[in-house]
Amino acid sequence: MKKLASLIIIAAVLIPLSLYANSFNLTLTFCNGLDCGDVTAPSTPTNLEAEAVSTSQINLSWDASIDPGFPALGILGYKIYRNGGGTEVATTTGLSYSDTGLADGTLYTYTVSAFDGAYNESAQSSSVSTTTLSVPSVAPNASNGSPSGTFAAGTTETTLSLATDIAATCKYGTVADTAYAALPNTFSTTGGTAHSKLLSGLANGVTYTYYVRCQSTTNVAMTSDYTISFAVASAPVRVPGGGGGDKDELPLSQVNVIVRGIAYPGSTINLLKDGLAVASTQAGPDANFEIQLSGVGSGTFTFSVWAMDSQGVRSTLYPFTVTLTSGVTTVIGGVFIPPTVSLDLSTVKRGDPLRVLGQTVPNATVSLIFHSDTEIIDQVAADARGVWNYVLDTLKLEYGDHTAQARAAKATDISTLSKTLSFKVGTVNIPVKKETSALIGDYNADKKVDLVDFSIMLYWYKRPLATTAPPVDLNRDGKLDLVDFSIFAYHWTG
Amino acid sequence: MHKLLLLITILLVPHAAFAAVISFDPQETTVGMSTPFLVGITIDSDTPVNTIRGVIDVPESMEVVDASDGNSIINLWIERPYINDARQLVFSGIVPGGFEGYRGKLLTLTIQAKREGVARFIVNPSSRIYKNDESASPQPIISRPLDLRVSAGRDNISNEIPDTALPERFMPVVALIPDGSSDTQATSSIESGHWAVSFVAQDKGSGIAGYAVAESFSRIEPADERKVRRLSWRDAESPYVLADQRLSSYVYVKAIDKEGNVRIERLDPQQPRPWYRTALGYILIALIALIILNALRTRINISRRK
Repeated sequence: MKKLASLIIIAAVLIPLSLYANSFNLTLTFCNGLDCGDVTAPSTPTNLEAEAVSTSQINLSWDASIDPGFPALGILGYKIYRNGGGTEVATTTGLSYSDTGLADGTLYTYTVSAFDGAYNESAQSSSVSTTTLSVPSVAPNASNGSPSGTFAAGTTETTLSLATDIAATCKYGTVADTAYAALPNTFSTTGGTAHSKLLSGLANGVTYTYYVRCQSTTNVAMTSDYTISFAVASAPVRVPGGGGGDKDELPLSQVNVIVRGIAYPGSTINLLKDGLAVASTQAGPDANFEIQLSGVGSGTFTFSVWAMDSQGVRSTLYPFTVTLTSGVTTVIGGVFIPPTVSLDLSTVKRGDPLRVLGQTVPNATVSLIFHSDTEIIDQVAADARGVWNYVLDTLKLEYGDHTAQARAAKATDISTLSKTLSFKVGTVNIPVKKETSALIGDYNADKKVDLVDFSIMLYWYKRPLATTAPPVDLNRDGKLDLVDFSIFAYHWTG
Repeated sequence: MHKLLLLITILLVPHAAFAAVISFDPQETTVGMSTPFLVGITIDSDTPVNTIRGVIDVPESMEVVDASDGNSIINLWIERPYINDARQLVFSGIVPGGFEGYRGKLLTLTIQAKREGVARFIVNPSSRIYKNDESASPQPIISRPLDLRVSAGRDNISNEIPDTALPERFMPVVALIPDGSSDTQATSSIESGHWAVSFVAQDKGSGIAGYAVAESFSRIEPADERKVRRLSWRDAESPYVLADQRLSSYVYVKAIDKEGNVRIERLDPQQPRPWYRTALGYILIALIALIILNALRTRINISRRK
C-alpha cells in the first residue's frame, strides 16, 4: 500500500514537470553514473614538451585542456601515447608524466590526449620526440683484489674482495675464461663499487685462485678474468716460546682485524671485543664504515658492533664470533647494523596513529613487524639520509600490549632485527617519556651499560636485595637471577 | 606414539631448530688412567643467546682437574666453573650481544680417570640458556650424554701445548658500587657505596686462573719485576672493594693465566694526594721546619749576645 502511494506521489511530480518542459522544447536528461549526456570532447592538450633526464627516463609536461561539454563534468585525466601507438602507455590526472624503463640512446615520440568525466577523449596533441641519454658501453674495471700472499696454516676463513670503477654485479668461479653469465658464484656484497664474499673452510697447504668478472648496470660484462689468488701455508705455525711473568708480547701472536659494514649516514660506530669497547669510528654519508684494530692476540673472540643514529638512538649489538690466527689480517665484511627504532607514544588510543621512526641505510626498504595476536608486517622506504617514518593505524590492533621491530633491506643484503619496542593500545595517548629511554642496566648513570654495571650486579648476586639497592632486579620478580643478567646482556653497550 | 616419534626426532636431529645444543667434544671416547685428558664443552645455537648456566653431572670415576675458559665464548663470568657438593660442574656467564653459531666453546675440561669402566657425563636439566631478547626468553636445550670407556693400559693424547702468551690487555675501572647504605644510588657520594675496581681479562690459551690486586702510593712500572714483587698483592675477584676509599693510591691489577703468564695493568689515583702529603712533601716540610728553627735559634743567640 505504501509502495503504491509512493508511485502516485512520484507520478504527480514528474508528469506536470514533463509537460512543462515539452512546452519549452527542452529535453530532460537523467544521469546514469558518469554518462550524463555530455558528448562533447575536451580541448586538445597543448604545449607538450619532452625532456630526456636519464638513460631510461623521459619527462613529459603539457598545458591543461578544458571540458566544454554540458553538463561540464571536468577533465578526468590525460592519456599518454608513445611512438604512435593506438593504446595509451599511461593515464594520469596531472599535467606531467615520467616515462621510465626506456632503452638508452633511443628516440621516443609522444602525444597526449585529454578525457572528461563522460570519457569523451580529445584529439591527440601534436607529437614531440626526444632521445634518451646514451651510456657508454663499457665494462667495469676491477681493482684492489684481496686477499693475496700466503696465510698462516690454520687459517680457515678470509674475505674475497675487490673494487670496480662503476657500479656492477660481480661473480666468481674457479675456472678461467668463464663467461660472466656462466660463473657459478655471486659476491654476497655487490651491486655497487665494493664487492666482497666471506670464504670459509680453507685448508692448509692449498693455493686458492678465483676468477672474477663483473657486469655493469647497463649489462656490459667484463670479457676477461680478474684473478685473485692466495695460499694457506702447509706448515703449522709455532708460537715462539718464552717464560711466563712479565715478558713482552710476542709479535707473531698479534693480528689485525678489519670490520666493514653499513650503518647510518654519519653515525658513530662502536666496536667491542669480548664485550669491552676497543674502537670507534664514524660512518660516511653513504653509511659505510670500516674499523681497523691492531695488536689483537690469536684465539676465538666475540666482536660486537653497535651504532648511534643522528637522533642519539642506539642500535642493538651486532655480534660475531671469529677465530683469529697469528700473522693474518682478518677482514670481517658485510656487517649490516639493524635500523634504530623509536615510538612517539608508549600508550596509544585505539584508532589514533602511532608513529614509528628510525634510521638505516639510505634508500633502504624497512620492514616493520608488529607482534600482536595477528602479526602485522608492512614496509616503508628510507630517504636519502636513511631516515624512515611509519604511521601505524592502530584500529588494526586489539586493546592490550604489543611490540614493534624493524629490519632493513638494501639490494640483496638484509639486516638482523632491531631492538624490540613495547607499546600499549588503550584509551588515551601517553607520549614516550625521556626517562624511559634511559639505558636499562646503567646503574651508575654513566650512559653506558658496561663492566662497572656488571660488577654492581655481581656484588648484589646472591645477596639479599635491600630496598635501597640499585634496580638490578630488571624483571621485577623480587630476585636477582640469570633472567636479570640476560636482560642486562641484551642492553649491553660496552 | 606421537610423543615417541617426537622424542626420536629430537634424538636423531640434535641440531633441531629453536633450541641450543650443548655438546661434549672429547679427544677420544676411550681414555687411559695414566694422565689427564681433555673434553671440550661446546654450544650450537641458531638463535642469539646471551646467558648460559651449565650444570654437568660428573661421574664418580672421574675427577675434573681443571676447567679452562681459554677461547670461551663466555666473556663475563657470573660463576666461574666450580664443583658443587653434588659432584656437579657448575658455571654461568653472559655473552653481551649474544652468541649465534656452531661449536662455540664454553669450557675445556681437564679430566683424570680414577678407575676402569664406562663413565657418563650428563648435561643436567637444571642447565639454563636465555635468548638475547628484551624479555630473556628461555632457550630449550638439547644435549647428549658423553660415555667414556676407561682402559687402564691406554695412553691419552699428550696435551703439551705450551701457552706462552700473556693474557690479553685489559682495562680495570674504578667505580662506586652502590651497596644500599643510602637512599641515593650510584652517585658520587662515598656514603652511597664502596669504591671498587672492576676488571675482566681474557686469555685465549690456557684461560684465566685468577686475579690479584695491589694498592700503593708508589708509581711502579708493571715491567719492573723487582718492584712489582714487593707490592702487597691480594687475591681478588671483580668487583674488588678498595682499601683506600680516598682513591689516592695507584691500583695494580694482575691477571694470571693457568700457565702462570701474568698481565699487570695500572690505574692512576683518582684523587692524587696533595704534594705535601707525599714523601717528598714531608721531606720538604721537614727541611723548611729545620731552616726556620735554625734561623730562630740563630736570632735568639744573637739577641742573647746583645
